[in-house]
Amino acid sequence: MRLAGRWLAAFALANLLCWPLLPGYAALLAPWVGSIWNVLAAADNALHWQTLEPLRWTWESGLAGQQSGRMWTWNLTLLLTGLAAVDGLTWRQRLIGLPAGIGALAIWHVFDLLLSMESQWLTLHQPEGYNLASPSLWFLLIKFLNNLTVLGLRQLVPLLLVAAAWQLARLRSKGAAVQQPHHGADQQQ
Amino acid sequence: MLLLVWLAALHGVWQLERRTTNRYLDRPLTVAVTAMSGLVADVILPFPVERRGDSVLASGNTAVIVRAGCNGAEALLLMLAGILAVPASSSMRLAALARYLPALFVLNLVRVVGLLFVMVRFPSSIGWMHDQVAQGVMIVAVLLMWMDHLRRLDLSARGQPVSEAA
Repeated sequence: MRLAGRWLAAFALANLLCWPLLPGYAALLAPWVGSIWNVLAAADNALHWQTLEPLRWTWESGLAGQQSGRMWTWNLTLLLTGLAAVDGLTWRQRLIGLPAGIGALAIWHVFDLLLSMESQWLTLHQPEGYNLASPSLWFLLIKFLNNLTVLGLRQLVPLLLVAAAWQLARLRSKGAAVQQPHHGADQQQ
Repeated sequence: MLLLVWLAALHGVWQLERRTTNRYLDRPLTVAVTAMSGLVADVILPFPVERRGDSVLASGNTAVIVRAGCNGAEALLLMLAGILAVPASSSMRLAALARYLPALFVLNLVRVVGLLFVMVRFPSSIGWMHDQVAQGVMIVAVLLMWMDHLRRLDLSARGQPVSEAA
């Protein structure tokens, strides 16, 4: 019960802290993603931003796509919640974990938005891909990955980052515990 | 790693079913969540709520569409993958599924009804509540239930009754 209380309190606090800051996050990241898309894409599907909150874009061909920037930013809230509430981390480890986690999450979000753009592009450009009688491997792969991301990985990735920080801290403390008797032996000599 | 493999496999099955028959998994869940949310909303919300079709709850001009995501599938699949990824006896797994999946289903009903309330009474806050708070609460709930499952497995492996450490 205390554990649940701590996690829910951390979640409430993370939401309050992030609420005023979050709309800027998507606006900061999206132009980078657009640039990567335009490097990777063919000339006929180059992308132009319309608005950054919510994220709306058009392709050269006139087709348009969109995504809510907040679909990403609740990931940041989960990361903050996890770092604040998980047991077994010192405050120093939590503070170091924050910029490291945000950096890793930003890289994940770049991949996430590129995947979402490709998925929306395929829906508009190749709607026949949904016909499973004549499957397109690329279409199915992108649709599968996008659904997995939207309904599974977005939820999991911030918690996996917290789990990685926790695991790292545990390994370090075990390593320190193993090293300490040797120091004692050295001092005796 | 095993968690990711299970999650991918479960999502593969779920998506395939949704794109082919859509009669056994996603649609029945959506219909059940819509119907039961409607019943809960009738009891606790201070305004009339009507069910439109299989997946829409509405009050006047405001409507909540219960589809993939809002039907709680993501939390249920994550919980299922979490239980399958950890080594345990079949009886422990079944007990965990029986304990946590209904709890998540009920929590999702509260989420859907709560979102309808926010949409009607505080429409400017719906983006924040829907995209950020409501989803986050579901995932924190899944995590807490999963940690409870791990605690129960640990106690069971040490031969202690679960109630002792609760």
